[in-house]
Order: sequence, then C-alpha cells, then structure tokens
Amino acid sequence: MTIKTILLIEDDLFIGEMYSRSLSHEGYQVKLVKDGSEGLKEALTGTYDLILLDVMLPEKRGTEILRALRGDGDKVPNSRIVVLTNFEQDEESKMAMQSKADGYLIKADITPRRLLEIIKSFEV
Amino acid sequence: MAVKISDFYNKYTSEVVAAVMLTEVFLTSIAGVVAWILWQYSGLDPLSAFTYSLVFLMVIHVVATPIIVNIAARPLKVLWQAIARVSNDSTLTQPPNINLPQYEKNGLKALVQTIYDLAVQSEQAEQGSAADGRPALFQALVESVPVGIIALNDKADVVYANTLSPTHKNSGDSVVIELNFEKTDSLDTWLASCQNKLRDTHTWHRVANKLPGEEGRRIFDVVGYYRKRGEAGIEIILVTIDRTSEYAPQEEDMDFIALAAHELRGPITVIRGYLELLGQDLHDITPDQQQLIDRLQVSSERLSGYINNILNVSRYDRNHLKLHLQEERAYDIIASLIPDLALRAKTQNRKLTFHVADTLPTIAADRSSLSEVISNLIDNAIKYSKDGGEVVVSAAAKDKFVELTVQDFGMGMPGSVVGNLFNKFYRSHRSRQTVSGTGLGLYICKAIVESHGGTIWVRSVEGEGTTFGFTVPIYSTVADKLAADNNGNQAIIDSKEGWIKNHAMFRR
Repeated sequence: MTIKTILLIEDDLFIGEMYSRSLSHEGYQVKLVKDGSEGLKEALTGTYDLILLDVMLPEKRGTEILRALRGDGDKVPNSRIVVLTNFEQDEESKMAMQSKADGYLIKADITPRRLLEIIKSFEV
Repeated sequence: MAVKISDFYNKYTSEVVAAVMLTEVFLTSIAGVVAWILWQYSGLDPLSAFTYSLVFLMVIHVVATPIIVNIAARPLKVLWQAIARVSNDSTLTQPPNINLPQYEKNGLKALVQTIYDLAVQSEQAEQGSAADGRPALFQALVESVPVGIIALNDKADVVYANTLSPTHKNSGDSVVIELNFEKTDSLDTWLASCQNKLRDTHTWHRVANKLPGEEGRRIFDVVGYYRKRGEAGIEIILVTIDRTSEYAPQEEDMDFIALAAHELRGPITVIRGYLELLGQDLHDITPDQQQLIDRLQVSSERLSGYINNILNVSRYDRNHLKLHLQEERAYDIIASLIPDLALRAKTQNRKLTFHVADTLPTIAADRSSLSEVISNLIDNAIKYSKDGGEVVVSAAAKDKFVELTVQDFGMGMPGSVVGNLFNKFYRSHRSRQTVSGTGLGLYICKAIVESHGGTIWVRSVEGEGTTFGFTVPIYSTVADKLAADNNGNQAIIDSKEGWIKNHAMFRR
C-alpha cells in the first residue's frame, strides 16, 4: 500500500513537532492532533493511510481510541495503526494493543529516521 | 376414601375370582338347562342329553375364555401402557385411560399415578432440576467454596458457573468467561493441545478479568481440568482462585515505575530525535563537531537503555521472567546489532571483530532479550578496553549449546570483583571512578541467559583483559519442551537446578 496521509495523535508538543517535521520533510501529508477525543474523531473520517497513536493522551487514552477503532470490527480498514508510546504498559495491556495495532514502538528507543524506515516497510 | 395401592392386588384378584365364578356358574347353569331340554323334548336318554350338554359347555368355553381373560387382564394392559409410556416407547401413542370408575375403586388409578410420579422424580434427579434448577445440597456446596467454578461442555460452551467465577451473561443469555489469558497460553491453546488426550490439567498464574485501570479488576490463578467425554456432558472444569490481594500491590509498584519511566523517556525521545534532525540539517561540519554530535547520540541512546534496564529489573524482581523462545540463528541476531554497535565502537575508538559463522545450529531464543544481553556485553567490553583496543565476538557450538563469547584486552579485574559481578547494583570501586553505569546490566544478562536455560560466565586476568561468555540451547535439543509449553520457557527452567529456581527473581 502507498502511504500519503498520516494522522499523528500526540500531546507532547516537542515530540509531535519532531515527527511532524521529519515526516513532512519526506513528503508525507501530516495532520497533528493533540488530544484523544479529537484524535478519534479525525481517525474515524477514514481518510488517513497511517495513524500514529500515543497512549497517554488527554481526553481519551490511546487504549480507548484503539478499542473504538479496532475493538468491535475494523472501523478504519484503510488505515494502518502504529502505537507510539513511552509508557511502559503491563504485558496484558501491551499485548491487547499489539494484537489490534499494526505496530507498537517505544518512542525513546527509536529516532525519526527509524520511524521513517518502519513506515516505508509498510509500503513494500 | 382414596384407595391405597397396597389394596390393589387383593381387590383385583377378588374381582377376577368373582367374575370367573359367576361366569362358570352361569355357563354351567345354561349347560344344565340345555341337558334338561334335550332329555324332555328330543327323546334322548339322560346320559346322551348330558353328554351333548357337556359338548355344548366345551364349545361355549372356547368362545367365552378369551373374552373372560381379556376382561380380567385389562388392568394388566393399563399397567403395560403406563410403563411403556414412561420409558418413552415410541410404538405407543395413546396413554391408558385410568379414569374409569372401576379403576378408581380397585386402586389401579393410584398405581398408575405412582408409576408416573416415580418417573418424573427420576428424570428430575437425572437432570438435576428441582424448582431452582439444582438440588439444594449441590447448589449450597458450589456456592460456599471460596473459589470460582466454571464447567464447559465439549464445544467449550459454559454450562455452569458459580457466583464467584469471573463470568457474566451476555445479551444472548449465554455465559461468557471474563479472563484475559495470554495469547500464547490461552484456554483455547490448552484445549487444542487436549484434543488427543483423555485427561489433562493446566495451571495459569496471574490471569486478570479486566485490563489494568478498569473497574472491578481481579487477578486469579486458574486451574483447568480436562476429561474427554466427562460425566453429564462436562469436559472442562476451570477453578479460579482470587489472588488479587497478593498480586495487586505489586502492580501498584510497577505503576509508579512505569509512570516515572514515561516521564524520563519523553525528554530522551526529544533529545535523540532532535539530535538526529540536527545532524541531518547541518552541513559542512568539521570531524570534531561530528564527533561531538556522535557522542551526544550515543549518550542519549545509553540513557534510554538505562531506563529500559530499570523497567526490566523491576519486572524481573517482582515476577518470574517469562520468555517466548523461537528458533533463531545467532548469526542473524548479531548481524542486526552490528550497525548500532559499530557506531558505539567507532565513537570510542575501538575495533570490533566478529567471528560468527552462519552455519551454526539454530538456537532457542527470545530475540529482543538475547539482543539485550549481546549489546550489554559488547558495550561493557567497549567501556573497559583500552583506547584503540579490540573487542572480539565469537560463537561456537558446544555439546547441546551454542556458546557466545565477548573478549576484550583491557584492564581486566581482580578475583574479588569477578565473584560479585552478577549481583544487582554491584559496581567495583574502580569502575565507579572511571565508567558510568548502574550495576544492573550483568544482573539482567544473567537473568535472561538463565531463563533461556543457559549459563553465563566470566574469565578475567588483571592487565590482560576479560572474556564474558554465555550459552543458549540448540533449538533441536529443546524443541519438545518448547512445544509442550507453547514456546514458553517454563519447562526449560523447571528442569534446571540451583540458582534459577532458588533466586528471588523466579519466586512467584
């Protein structure tokens, strides 16, 4: 699949702008949303090829957003979802998210370049 | 007055005797009349007339006997119909009519009613269905034991669950089990493994009904009993033991550490990310400036590694280290680490050499954990070797294991240090002064290696250098054990003695 549009749900301004900058630089169309409720609303429009989802978010946590999108049937079949978090979840929550998402990454363990490589691997 | 069933036999035989006697008297009287008429009016002598009347008597007996027997056997027919009916004999469609006055009088009605009552009682006992569904004693028993009990049939549908069991009824009124099993060790995977068995038992630890943070979360130990074609259609019984009071406080500790790690990781993400972006944006920088950026990058990477170490230790300390071992090639694992490690070696001016053949037998490994061990050992070797020194990474097959060694030619360590190396937070006096670190790395390495069923060792000579080595089992030697445990490492750990079983890290 080709990835052109990316929804980035991230409340940390520095991190959000960092990814947004690096992804835009590569030619992706990035929409940055800073809270969970708005993020879910935006995701449900189904117009994004990729959703980068944080876990610790105001309004609605990433776990809830993922459950709303993929818990009971896939509401966004045209979007890939990658969980991007610094929160060390317990094994169960982590596995619950991993089973629903297409990727699960610890932000502190990767750099923007590594994220780009992972996104490109979806396009193969 | 109601007729008792004990009166039936006497009443019935009296009736039959009376009926037979009356019939005999009647028939004999007719035969007598016939003999008299023949003697008086047909001119026969008395003996002939008597003989003819005897023949006549025999003929009417031939006709009358079946009729009499039929009438006398009617109650027997009713009993036969009643018994056939309660035994579900499909050849009889009509129930017997027991409402005739004579049946009421002779007790037959009461007798048939008793048969019906007994049949209903036995059916209820079979289905266990009294007014509330189950006999009171059974109900009281399963509700008063302090565990959850869930019974499932051969289709894994819940046929019974007591109040304490983690279950709820869904909208379709069927009972749903609320247990979040691990994907690789779920109820389904166990049931699949039971397909070819007659009986089996399986135990799960720390199975919760809800995710952390959700209301009403309880944590259970669960024991499953499987019996093919068990009694009353029950094939599986799950017993759940609520261990929330024991497990929950440990979760709260973890919550704090997880939160702290989250707060620390945020700034590190930003530092690492912006350093990389900065590096890409900067052009025409001097090698000196490049070295500064490289050092910043390596340090921020290390910081993120430390936080992962702290999280791992806290997880290992409070719980058994669970790994999922797959068939892997040592060569592939090392090859994937080379770019990162080479950068670290280059920034500290060390030469990194690998002697790892891609023809080694495959190993049973948890890839990310084993990568952590290898990175950690190589990192240490880089730290403790001399400027411009060499670090040699080799691998070789040894008996049932593949052994991997990391050798440096640095300062080496005295025996007193070597003996404590794998203790938590241990740092030698000298390394405190010269090299940064938490003293957790080797402790974690040991935990990971031994959780693979291998051993870790160190050999050091002061002034000459140090070699760390560890073994992991060759895949083919443990494939059976792994298959029996859904690729979990439990069977491998259980078969080992000593430290791994006694160490606090592995106590539940």
